[in-house]
Amino acid sequence: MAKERAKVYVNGKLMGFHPNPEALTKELIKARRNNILDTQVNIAYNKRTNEVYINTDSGRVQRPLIVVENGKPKLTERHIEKIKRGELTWEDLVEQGIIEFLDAEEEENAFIAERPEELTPEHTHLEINPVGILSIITSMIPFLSHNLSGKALHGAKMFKQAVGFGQSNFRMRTDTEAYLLHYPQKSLVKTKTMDLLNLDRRPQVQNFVVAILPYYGFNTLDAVVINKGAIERCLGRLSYFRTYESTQTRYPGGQKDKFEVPNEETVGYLGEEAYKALGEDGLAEVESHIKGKQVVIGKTSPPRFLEEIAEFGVVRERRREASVTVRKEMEGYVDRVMLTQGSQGDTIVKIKIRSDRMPEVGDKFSSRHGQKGVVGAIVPEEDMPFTVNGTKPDLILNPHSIPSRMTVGHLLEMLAGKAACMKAEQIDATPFNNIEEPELEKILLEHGLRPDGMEVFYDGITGKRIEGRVFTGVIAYRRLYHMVAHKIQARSKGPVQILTRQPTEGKEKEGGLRFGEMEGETLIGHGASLLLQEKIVEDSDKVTEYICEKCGIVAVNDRIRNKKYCPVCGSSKVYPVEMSYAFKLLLDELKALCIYPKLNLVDKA
Amino acid sequence: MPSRKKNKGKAPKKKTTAKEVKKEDKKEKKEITLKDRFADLRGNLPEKVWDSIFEIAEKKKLSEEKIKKLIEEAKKEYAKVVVEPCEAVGIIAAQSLGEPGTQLTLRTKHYAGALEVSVGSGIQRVEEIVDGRSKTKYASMTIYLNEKIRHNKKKAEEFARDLVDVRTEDVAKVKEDFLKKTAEIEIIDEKVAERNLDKEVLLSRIKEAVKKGKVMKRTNKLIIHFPKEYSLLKLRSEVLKIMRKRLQGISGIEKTIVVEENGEYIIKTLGTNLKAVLKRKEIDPYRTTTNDIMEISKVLGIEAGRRAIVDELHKTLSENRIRVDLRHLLVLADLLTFTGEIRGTVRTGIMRLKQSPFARAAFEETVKHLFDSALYGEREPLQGVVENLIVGLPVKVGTGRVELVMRE
Repeated sequence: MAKERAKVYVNGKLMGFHPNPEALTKELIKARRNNILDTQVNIAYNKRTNEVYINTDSGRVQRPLIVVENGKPKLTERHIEKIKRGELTWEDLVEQGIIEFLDAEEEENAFIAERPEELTPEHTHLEINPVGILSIITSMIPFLSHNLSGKALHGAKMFKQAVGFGQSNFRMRTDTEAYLLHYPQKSLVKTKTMDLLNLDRRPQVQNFVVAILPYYGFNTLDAVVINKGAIERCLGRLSYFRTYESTQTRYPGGQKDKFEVPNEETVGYLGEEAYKALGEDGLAEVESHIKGKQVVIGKTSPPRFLEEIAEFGVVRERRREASVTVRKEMEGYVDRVMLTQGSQGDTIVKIKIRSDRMPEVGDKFSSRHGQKGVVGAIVPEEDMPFTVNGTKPDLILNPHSIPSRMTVGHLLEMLAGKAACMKAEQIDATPFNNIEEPELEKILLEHGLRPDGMEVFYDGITGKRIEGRVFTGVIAYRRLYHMVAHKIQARSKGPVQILTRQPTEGKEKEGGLRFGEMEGETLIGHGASLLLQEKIVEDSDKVTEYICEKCGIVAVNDRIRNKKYCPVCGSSKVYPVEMSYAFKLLLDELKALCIYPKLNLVDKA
Repeated sequence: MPSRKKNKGKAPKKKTTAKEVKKEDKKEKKEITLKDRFADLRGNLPEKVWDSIFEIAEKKKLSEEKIKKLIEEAKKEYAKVVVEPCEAVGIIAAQSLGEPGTQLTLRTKHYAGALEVSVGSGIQRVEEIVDGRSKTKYASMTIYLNEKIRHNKKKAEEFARDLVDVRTEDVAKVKEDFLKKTAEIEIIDEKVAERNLDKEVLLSRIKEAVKKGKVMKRTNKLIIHFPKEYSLLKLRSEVLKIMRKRLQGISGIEKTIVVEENGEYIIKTLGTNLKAVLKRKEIDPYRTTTNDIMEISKVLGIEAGRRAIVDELHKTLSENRIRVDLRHLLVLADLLTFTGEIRGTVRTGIMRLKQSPFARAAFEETVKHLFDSALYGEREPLQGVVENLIVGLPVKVGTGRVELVMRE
C-alpha cells in the first residue's frame, strides 16, 4: 500500500498520498520556477522513505543557486550583459526561475556543479560562486581553501570575538559593554564577501608585519611577541565602554529616590573620597577620572520604615545610600551622561565610562586562520629583530604553530599581504577563486623582494645576523575581547559564605579558587596529608569548638561570663577541638534529624 | 595467562631432539651451582630479577666479586621501586586509570562490513567491568579448538555451525487450528538454507518435542493432532513450548564466526555459555574463554574471575592504545574480588561493604546511611580517607600516617 503511494507532508503535517511522487515534485518545482508558487516554497522527495516534503514555513535557511537544465545553466551571457547595463535585477532572475532558493531538504535532491566547466547533463544546479557553500563569516577567511577544515571553524568562531569598528553610532549607544578598536584598517587581503558586506567600512582588523621566528622563549606554546614601538603607534589599542544605569524610582506614599550627593547622615555612607567625581546634581562630571569602587551616580532612597520619633517630636528622616559604584577593577573617564524617562515617568540616568585598553601581556590576538595566541612579551622596539632595510615586525609568531595545524592559508595571506603592500592595492583571495601563489611570487619579484617571502634578519639584542632566512609578511590580525584586565583575580583573605564559612566563589564576590575533590586526591596520591588538611581546613573554615567530654556535644561558650559549659549536662569539663565549620554544621544538621552524634575525645597524639 | 604458557611450552617440546635435551641438562647444572652459592644474599629480590642477574653474569662471564656487586646494586634499585609504606596505592591506581580513561572514546566503534563480532569497546566496556555488571552487553566467546580440528577449516566451520542455538521458531512457522486441535509446523526452506542445516534432522527433533498427540510428517511440515481433551490454553502453551524447543546448539550462543589466528582456526561467538562449551570435546579447554567476567568467576572460580578482570581491562585499554601499568589493574581487580565474588564499585557493590558510615554517606544515598548508622549506633573509627577529610583531620596516608611517641 504505502509502497505505491508516497506520503506528502506540508510543513511536517501529513496531508495525503500521491501515486507518483516524482512527477509531483517535478510539477511543483516547475510551478515555483514559473512563479505560480512562492519562491520560498521548497519541495523535497525522499526516495528511501518514499515521502514528499513541502516546506513553506519560516525559519529555514535557504541559499540561491543557478538552475541548470540539460547541462546548461539558465543564466546566459545575455543575462549578464543585461545585469551589467542595469536592465535586470536579482528579483527578476528569481522571478524568471533562473535563480532559485533551496533549503536543506531540497538540497538533498539537487546535484550542484561548483563551476560551469564541470556541468554534465545530470546536474540540476550551478553554484553562483563556489564560496556559496560557506557561511558569510567563513567565506570572509582569505585562502580558506588552503586550510584544514577545522581551522576554518576556529577562524570563523573568532570573527565574533574580534574587536573592531562595529558601529558608527557608538557615541550614542548605551550598551552595558562595548569595545572600539582605535585605527582599524582595511584588510590588505580580502574576499568577495567582504566587499558585499562593506566590511572595509566597518573594519575589524589591523595589518601586522609578522615574522615567523622564535623569540627567546617568549613565544612558545602559541604565545606571540609584540613590538612595544608598534603599540605606542596604536597597534591593537582599543577603548572599552561600560554603561552604568540607575532609575529614580517612585514609591507608594509619594516618596522618591533622589539623585544627589549623599550627605554624611545617609545610612551606608561610603566616605567623602567615593563621591569625589560627582557634580552638584549627583551625577559624575563628563571627562572626570573614575577609579575602582568610586560612585558615578549618587542616589539616596527614602527610609524603608518610618523612623522613630526623635526629641521634640520631630521625625528625622535618614535616607538610605543607593548609589551606583564602578566595578573594582574599572578605571577610566566619564564618556557621556545621558538622562531619559522610563515608561512610568521615572528619570533614568545612564553613565558611560570609557577606559583605554592597551595590549598587555596576556591579551589575545588572532589571525583569520584560527591562529590565536596570547601576548607573551612586549618587547622594546630596539630589541626586536630587524631586516636589512630596518623593518621590524609588529608581531613575532612561533614557527611551531604552523606545521601541525597546516594553516597554509595563513602563510599565503602573509605573502599576499606583502605583495599587496608593494602593489599598493587590495588583493582578492576569495576561497576557491583566490590569487595563486606564482602570481604573488611574480609581484614580489617585480618589486625587488624574494619571491618566497623570506628575508634576512638581524637579532635586535646582539646585532648578529640570524642564521637562515625568516618568513615575513603582512597579515590581518584581530584583537579579541578576552583581556587580562577583565579577568585577573587573586585573593589571600576575603569574604566568606554565611552558612558554611567557606570562602565565596567567583570573581564578582572576590572569591577563592576552589581546591576541589580532584585536587585533594592528588595530594593524597602524594601522601601529603598535612598539606591537604591545611588547604581544606586551615585555609577554609577552621573553627575551634569546645566539646563536652561526657556528652560529646558542642559546648556553649558564654563570652560575657567567660564560662564554657555543656548544654546537656551542664558540666564545664569541655575541651577545645579544631574542626572545619562544615563538620560542625553537619553535627548540627544531624541533631536536627534527631540523630545524636557523640564525639569521643582522645588526646592529640 | 597460565593456559597460554602451557601451550607455548607444549609446542616446542614436540620438536625437541636429543641434542637439545643434553644442552638443557648442562644449563641446569650450572645454574644450580651459581645460584646456590649466592642464595643467602638474595634478600627480597623477586625471582625474575634474581634469574636475570645470573643470566647477565653468565653472558658477561662476571667474576664472583662482580656478581656480588651486581646483586647489591640490584637490591638498591629494587628498594627504590618497591611501594613505600603508607603510599596511597588505591588513589594512584584510580588516577592512573582515570586520566588516560578520559581519552577513551565514548562512541562504540562500528566497523562497517567487518566480519568481527562487534564487541563493546572503549569507556562503556571499562565501566561495565569496573561496575561489576552481571550482564555483559556484547557477550562473546573465543573458542580454541583441539588439535584434531584446529587446522581444518571445514571441520571448524562445521563445529561452529553446530554450536549455534537454533530454536523451532527460528526456522519454522506455525498454524494452529483450535477447532480440530491441530497445529501445523512448516519449515521455511530459506531459513534452513541460511543456517546450513539438515531439514530431516530438524523435523525429527521437532517431533521429539511433542509430548502427547499424533504427529504426521509431510515433506516440509509436521501436522500435530493434540489430544481432544486439551483446552485451548493448554494447546497454545504446548505449541509455544514446541516453538521454543532448542533443536541444536548451545543455549545462549547466537552467532559464530570462524577466524584464522596465528595459523589456526578459532571460533568467535556472539552470546556466551562457558559451562556448556567447556563440556564439548572438540575444544581446547585451556584456552577457550569468554568476555563475561561474571560467568568466568561462576564457572571457574573467583581467582579466574580476577584474572579475567585484569585481562579484559588490559585488552580494552590497549585496544585504545592506552598504557596503564599492570599493577594498577591488579589493585583494582583485587578490590573487586576480595570478597569472594565480583563486586563493582557501585553503591550496591563494594561501597556497601565499607565499614565507615561517613565513607558510605559520602558516596551515595547520604541520608539513608546516616539514619541507618544512627539506628544501629555505629561508631566511626576515622580510619579511612574520606572520613578524616569530613572531620578535618589529616588523612591517614603518607605523612599523615606517621606518629611520634615520646620514649618513656
